[in-house]
Amino acid sequence: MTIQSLLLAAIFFFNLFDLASVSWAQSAASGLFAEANELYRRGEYEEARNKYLQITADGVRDPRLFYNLGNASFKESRLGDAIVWYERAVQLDPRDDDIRANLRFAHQVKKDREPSIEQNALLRALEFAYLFPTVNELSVSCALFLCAVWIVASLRWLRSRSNSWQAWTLLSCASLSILTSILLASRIYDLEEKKFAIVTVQEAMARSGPGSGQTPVFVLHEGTKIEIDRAEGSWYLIRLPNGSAGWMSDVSITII
Amino acid sequence: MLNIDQFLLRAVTINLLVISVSVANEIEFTASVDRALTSRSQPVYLTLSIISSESLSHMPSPDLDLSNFVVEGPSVGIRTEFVNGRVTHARELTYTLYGRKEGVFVIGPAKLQLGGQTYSTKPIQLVVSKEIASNQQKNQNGRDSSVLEDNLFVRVERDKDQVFVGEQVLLSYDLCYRYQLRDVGFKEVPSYSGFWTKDLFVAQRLDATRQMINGMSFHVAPLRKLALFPASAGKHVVDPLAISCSISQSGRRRSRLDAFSFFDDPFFGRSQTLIVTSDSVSIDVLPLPRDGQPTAFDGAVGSYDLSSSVQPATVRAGDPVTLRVLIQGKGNIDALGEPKLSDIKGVKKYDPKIQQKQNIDSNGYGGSKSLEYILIPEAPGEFIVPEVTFSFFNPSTQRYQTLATKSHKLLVGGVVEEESGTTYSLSRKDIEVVGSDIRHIKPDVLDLGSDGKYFYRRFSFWLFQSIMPIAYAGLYFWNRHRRRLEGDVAYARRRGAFAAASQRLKHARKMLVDGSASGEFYAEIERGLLGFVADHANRPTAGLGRKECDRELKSRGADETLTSALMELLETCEVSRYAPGMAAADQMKQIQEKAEELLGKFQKALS
Repeated sequence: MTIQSLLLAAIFFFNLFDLASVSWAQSAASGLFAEANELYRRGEYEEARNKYLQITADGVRDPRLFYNLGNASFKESRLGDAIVWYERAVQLDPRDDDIRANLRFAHQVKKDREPSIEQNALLRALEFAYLFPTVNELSVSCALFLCAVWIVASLRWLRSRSNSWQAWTLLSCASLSILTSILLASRIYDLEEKKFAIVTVQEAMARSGPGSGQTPVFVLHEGTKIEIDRAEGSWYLIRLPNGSAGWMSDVSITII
Repeated sequence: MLNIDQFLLRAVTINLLVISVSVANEIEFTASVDRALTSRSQPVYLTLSIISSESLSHMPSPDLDLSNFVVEGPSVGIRTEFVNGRVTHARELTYTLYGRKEGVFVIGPAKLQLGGQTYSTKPIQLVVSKEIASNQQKNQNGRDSSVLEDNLFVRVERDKDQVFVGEQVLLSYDLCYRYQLRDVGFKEVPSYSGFWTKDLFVAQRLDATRQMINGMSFHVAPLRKLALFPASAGKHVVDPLAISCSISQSGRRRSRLDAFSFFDDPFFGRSQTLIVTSDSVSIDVLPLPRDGQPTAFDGAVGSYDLSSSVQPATVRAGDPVTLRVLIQGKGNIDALGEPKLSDIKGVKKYDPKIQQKQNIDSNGYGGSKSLEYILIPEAPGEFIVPEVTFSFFNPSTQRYQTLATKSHKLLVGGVVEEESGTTYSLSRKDIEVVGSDIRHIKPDVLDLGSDGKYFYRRFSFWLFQSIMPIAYAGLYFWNRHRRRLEGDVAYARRRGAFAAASQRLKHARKMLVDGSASGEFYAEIERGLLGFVADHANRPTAGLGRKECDRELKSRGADETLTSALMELLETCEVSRYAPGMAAADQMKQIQEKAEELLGKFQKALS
């Protein structure tokens, strides 16, 4: 059983519980998607982008849609928007080669050099491994391992005589479920607590406080990724990887 | 002290009053020369004096045309004089003039703009003449100025009178002298307009050799040597070169007796500064002939050699080859154009790297220019590097000349298979990146439309997660119950007690509705209630009397009133069971309801 079919089964299962009937929405969204793709192929990027946006407005969140939307934005030379959509796509599908390649490319084109700290190979590999499974895959595997724990444990009760095979299975399933739970919890924490944003205007001024009258502290250019600390009115306290912080208006950034 | 101070103060005040009362500002502006007759080597001192009654902090410089003279200065002198309580401020500007040529000149009038007024001097006539000046010189010093100029002059020589456009002319200046000279320096250097010039030699000090000129022994020191390349045809005149030098009077005095006396002593006697100018030089420039001008000619004039080399002659495809073209000779190397190298099919050609070397000798200016072309053959095979041609005009033969290098053969190998007889050749190289762009969009899909909500945000996920432990717990308790039923009779009876008793009471009710015999009805009620107690006590129902029942219930901590109510009910049942006649249906119904109520209460109390 491959991961994909398992995921499909899980989606079906969870959707069944939510009683969400998606089939009619699917056909409508797929139709719009095909139209937008055709516009893109003809080089009418502006129209294609509007069509894609229309699909997202219906509440559809799909990495392929976000990826194509990023492409259309890039071709319209909206670099910041393109990066926003690629980032959203890569969150849903962190292993897709096309999405990662285009995100890399867009980051290369932007004006500000990535002010990230140099990482060694081990840290990079660990980060890659951490981000390798999607949140949904982690959720499903966590649920399955827990399920296995309960089943094996109940087998031990139902059968009067327990053997060492059962004990080992129980132990491994329990440790795997704990591991996946921890990973899932960390990923959920990242998703819920850490907010990132992309600068979507040509040049944005970070100020020392929330308000356009405050002292400017640094200038960011389109496409730069920043972390959002907190908000005050329509102003966000943003942080750069090198530690510097400043307040930015919500018109110049878009939250991923 | 106080007295003296007051006295001084008074004195100054009085003085100031006197001055301010006596004069409005008066200005005198005059010009004078120290002599009206001079020679070209003899300086004339022109003095402009401005005398005013007020001290003038800012004095504009006077307007005066002195283009006919070589000018030094002016030196400025300021004087303040008190005469009979009147103060005059004098400012003197002294110019040292040397005549550029002989003749009669008028100096001035000089003009001075001051306080909105224009003051001007009277014009002065000055005669620059060899004869009169030397006479005067003789009268004054007993020296002959013409003797001076015969013994000290700048000689200018050119190697050709008539040249072609672009041909080089060598111009050399020598200082010829018979006196001891000091402080020799260039005074005026001509602009050489109409020529492209290249300095070949500029003297830093006098390096004299002895030469005989007109039967007299002279020191001859080269001053300057340069190559001129005329830019256009016609008659060009080179302005004279002027140098300044000092000559000591005592040296000159002795020079009449012995020009090269070793006893010259510059500390004795006055020294005199002289300006020595050369003659001007005219050069005829001929245009280049139109006949026989090659198409490739681009203005090179001189005499040149051309050579070329290819290094290495055998390479692998993709490796660079250097083609070096060398032009050597006399002429204006800097202005040489690049000879044309035509394209070779299958070979990439890059712009040449140009290196230039100057070679200056007594014959004039020349050198070499080397052009290094990088050629990269793109595929294996045999290539011919074509000849490179270069045309120039040779003034000595008065003809155009076209030189060509020999062509070179270039062997490009690299693929061994070609020799072993394979019909096709491969030249592998890295994939050439010609541009970069984002990747193309994802294709159309049919299953688009998921809201992409994370599972952990769905209620069903957590429901599923919570169902599992609940199911597990349920399974656990069910399993335990099952085990006890299997192994524990007392437990099993106890668990089954209520169900069994209810069954009997239900049966009794059915009898009541059917209208069966009253004795059977009461027996069924009694059996049900006693059976319930027996099951809880795990005792056989048969041997259980009312007393044992009462004891068992009390030992299990049942409620006193409940127990006594049960006893009462059981007694009523027993009595009614054996009583003759039909019992009233109302009473039977009452007993049945009471039994059910008691059973429910006991079940709650005992479990």
